[in-house]
Amino acid sequence: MPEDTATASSFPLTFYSPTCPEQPLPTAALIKVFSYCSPGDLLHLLVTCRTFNYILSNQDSIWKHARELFQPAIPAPPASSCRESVLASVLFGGGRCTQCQGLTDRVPCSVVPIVRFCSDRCPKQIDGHKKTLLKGPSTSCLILAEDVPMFLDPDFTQHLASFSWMDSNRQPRRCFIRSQLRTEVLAFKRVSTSPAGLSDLLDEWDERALALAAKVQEFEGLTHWLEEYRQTQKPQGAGIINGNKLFLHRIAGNLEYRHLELSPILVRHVNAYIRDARVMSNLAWLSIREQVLWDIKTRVFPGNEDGTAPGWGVKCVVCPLSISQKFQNRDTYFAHMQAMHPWLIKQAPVLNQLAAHRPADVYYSDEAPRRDSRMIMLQRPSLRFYIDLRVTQLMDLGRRAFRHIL
Amino acid sequence: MVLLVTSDNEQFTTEKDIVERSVLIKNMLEDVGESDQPIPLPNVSSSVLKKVLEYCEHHRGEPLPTADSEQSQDETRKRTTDISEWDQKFITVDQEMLFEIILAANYLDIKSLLDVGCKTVANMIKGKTPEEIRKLFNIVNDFTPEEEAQIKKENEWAEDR
Repeated sequence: MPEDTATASSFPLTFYSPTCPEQPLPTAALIKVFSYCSPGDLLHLLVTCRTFNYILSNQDSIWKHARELFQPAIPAPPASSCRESVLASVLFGGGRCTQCQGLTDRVPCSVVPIVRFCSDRCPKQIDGHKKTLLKGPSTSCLILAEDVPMFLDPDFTQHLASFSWMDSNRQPRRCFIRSQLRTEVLAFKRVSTSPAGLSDLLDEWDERALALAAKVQEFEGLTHWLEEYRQTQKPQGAGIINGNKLFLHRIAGNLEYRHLELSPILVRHVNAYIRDARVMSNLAWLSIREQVLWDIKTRVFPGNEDGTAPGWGVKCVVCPLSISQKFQNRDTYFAHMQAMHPWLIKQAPVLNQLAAHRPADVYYSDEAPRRDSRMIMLQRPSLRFYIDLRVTQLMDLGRRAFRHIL
Repeated sequence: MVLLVTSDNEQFTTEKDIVERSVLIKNMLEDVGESDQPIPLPNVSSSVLKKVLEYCEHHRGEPLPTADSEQSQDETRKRTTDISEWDQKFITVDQEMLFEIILAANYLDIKSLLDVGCKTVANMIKGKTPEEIRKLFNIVNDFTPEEEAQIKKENEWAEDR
């Protein structure tokens, strides 16, 4: 980089080779060395000694090179909002785990807001049995306010874990960082008895949500990069191996666990799925889930006596769309299958009959999966009421609470 | 034939197209013209020059990077920090020699050799903590704790949610 040589050579050389103290390594060569380093290494070099620090602080081009050299290439930081070295530091400099507050070197899951976990397990410890197998940590870092009914529930703490996620397709309208939810809830509880304080708090939340949305947009490129990077970093099938039992439990939906225990072959089969689970998109993961469900259906409930249901060794045919929300029930699903995939039907001629003869308590994989588990939970009698946390309703409630106190 | 004299007064005779990979010597030869006078290289020792000439001989005939190709060179560098197999073998030397080679390549202005050396050093830095880097390069930590904290702070992500 000849353009750098001129500026750098004016700085006194203090970098010496280990055995040849009278001969410093020229700054030009140093800059060249740096330009081959990764952003993470540059951060280390930055705090190594004053010479390095001086060079690195004054040569943004080195950081830029490192950024572009990285695989996959990191997008440029949004103009004006942060410097190259700051970007490198947030990505590779480590920080505190969003969940447990422990120090970690891992690359964050999201930069706006900054969310990082010290291990794949950390977010799951709180999530418990919830959505861990369906959603990555990135999508579960924000909570929509309207998804937090226990804002109004006195014993909200015990439900806290159950509501710590949001749908990835939804806009983070008014949302909270999960780890800070408790603080927010407390703030809400404090003001919920006074309408004025309440409206102030809501205004504050609105403002913050707007600012956040703007920032999210600004850092969109970086968010995409993080997604890509996580795909390359994902250890093979890790995080899934923990808890085969949990997995079985979850995929079985409303099947009973003992049904699964009845079938060691099935358990082995599922274990093989889990073991072979490579870097997968949610879609791939869901379709594997579908296949496993098919096995549950065919092996744990091995078919009707009149031969309308398949026996052993039947291959599952699942339309990838079937796992989207497009199909609300089995009728729409089968209509789609007949219209769009007649050959699939031909391949699995029992599919139609299957739909007709379904026992009420069996969850078939060729139906749209139940995506309403959250709704079911919300309707549980143990949650005394579920109220949408939209501003109007909340204000209403605040007023009512106020009246009550008066 | 070109005659080179190293810092320890050893004489090397090489062919012109080998030694011309060094931009410094190439320019020198162009300036001086045909001459039997040896070219003095006061900054290069004989052991290092031997190594450098070995490199030049292996890469003789390859097109020299010119100012025009700077751009495309940049492009390739962006793509990879890999070192070719022969170069890798060539650069597998002790650390002292590595530094000397970089110094010589810098002095003699042999761009490709300098690249190889720098990539090797970059690879040595890879994944090391600041303390390990200091040890590697024999540097003293000349920061005060306050300065260190200051650097960290300067590069902190402003997190106003």
